[in-house]
Amino acid sequence: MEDQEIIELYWKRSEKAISATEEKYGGYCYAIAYRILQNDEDAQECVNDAYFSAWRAIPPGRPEKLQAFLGKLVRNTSLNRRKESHAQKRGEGQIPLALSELEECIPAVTRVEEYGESAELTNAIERFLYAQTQPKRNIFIRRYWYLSPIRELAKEYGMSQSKIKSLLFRMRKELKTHLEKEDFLL
Amino acid sequence: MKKEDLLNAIGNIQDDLILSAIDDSKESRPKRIRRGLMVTLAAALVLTLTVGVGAASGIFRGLEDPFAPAFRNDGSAPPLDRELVEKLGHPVGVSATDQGVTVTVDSVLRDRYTCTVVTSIAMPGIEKQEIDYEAMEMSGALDGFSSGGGYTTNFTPGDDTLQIIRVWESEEPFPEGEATMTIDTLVFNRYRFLREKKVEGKWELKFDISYEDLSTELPAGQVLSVEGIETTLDEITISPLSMMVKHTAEPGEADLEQVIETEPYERTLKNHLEELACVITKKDGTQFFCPGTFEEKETHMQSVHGDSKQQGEKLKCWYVLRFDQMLPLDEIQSITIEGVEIPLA
Repeated sequence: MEDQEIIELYWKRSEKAISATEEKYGGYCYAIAYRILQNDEDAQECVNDAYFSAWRAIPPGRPEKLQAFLGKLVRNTSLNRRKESHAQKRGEGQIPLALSELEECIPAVTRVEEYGESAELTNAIERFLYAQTQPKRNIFIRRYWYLSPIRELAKEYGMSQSKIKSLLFRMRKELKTHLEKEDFLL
Repeated sequence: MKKEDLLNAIGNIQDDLILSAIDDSKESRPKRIRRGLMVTLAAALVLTLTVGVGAASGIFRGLEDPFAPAFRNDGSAPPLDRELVEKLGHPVGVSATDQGVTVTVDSVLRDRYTCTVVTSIAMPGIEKQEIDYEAMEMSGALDGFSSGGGYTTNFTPGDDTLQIIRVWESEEPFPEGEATMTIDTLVFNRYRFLREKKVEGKWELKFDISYEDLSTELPAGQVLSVEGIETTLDEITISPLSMMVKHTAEPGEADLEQVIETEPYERTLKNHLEELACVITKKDGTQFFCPGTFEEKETHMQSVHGDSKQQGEKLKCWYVLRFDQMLPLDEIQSITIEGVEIPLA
């Protein structure tokens, strides 16, 4: 079923919207949730929560990219769940690793509180990503948006794990420089 | 700013960026995999092995068809050189059917260090599936060769057939003779994550992998300097399909420890040693690059696979470059490795 047809089902308040969403994007959403939560039951619950959020958001919303819309919902839901649940224990899943890596990107001097979770920071990251070649950009997104394990990226991109790590290491350094520069310019 | 802020901010990037990363990962790209993850079934299920009549009768879907998937399919590569194809490969046409799924080995194309097998899997509704090609195992003549890669393509949507291109690469020359490819359980996973769907069965396909070795060895023994470390070229072998470079680095005791033991993030020197900068220059000026970085827009490489192992205070390194098209050796002017140009006689 095409995305627009699924969205129409939401607009008609047809419960088939959920089953159609599950059929088409269930695996995608579950994978995102599972990577964050490392628990089948929690992941499934977050996927269901995300469907419910979509149900409440459409209408009035009409997402242009349903897959990305759902992905963001389930990612946010899962991150919030992780904060609240026992899954926050150290060493579980990709989150601690990704966070540890991202720590390297934080500028030494920054307008900390002004940035917060603001759109400015997202915009700055987007500018950084668009300045990268497509493979590098996608590897970065696969790692820090989808939280894909290094091993999986190495397999999919035909590179050694150490090479993926090196590439991400360089990109984090570049992002740090980029953020420092943006901070200076803003 | 906290690291969580960054993670959250990344979470809100534009939809196109998010989707592009997924689309890219599903492209028909060569991928390196490690063997040893084969799914093994406790109980062998019924296997129907049918040796296709195609090979005997010479009935194929056209000479180029079985081989074309072995190379990139974006339309920019030149047509396959039929003379080279006939020397380096065979159409195969061997099929096995189990659980309503038919697996066919369409072709094999190989040289001294690489072996590419084009396989078709026919099953109703297979079109949008992704197959876990790690579950495909080769044995027989290829038994013991542990590296390689694979990728999935589907050139004819709607025909319920998916093609898997499985590549084996090795530090040692592949033997000739009969190979057996065994698939124990097909694993489908559209997003390569979880929620797998499996068709439990067994498909075993035997086929000949003999070929004419068109490889040429270039003069070796050159001493190169890689980030201050001396390394000696031991072997440079090139064929129309790939190039193998073997070399021995002698970093000295202190540097060797640094190369091998340093934290993964810092192992750029080891990466460099495992994939020396290399340019193949054709007589018409076209250049093929070893994609040490992504900066080159067109490398003409399908894959690069490098590895190394310590021998005393030395580091034995090798890497194999697979071209994205056939490269007739008489069209090559020279090969330049780490700035040292080696003409092709």
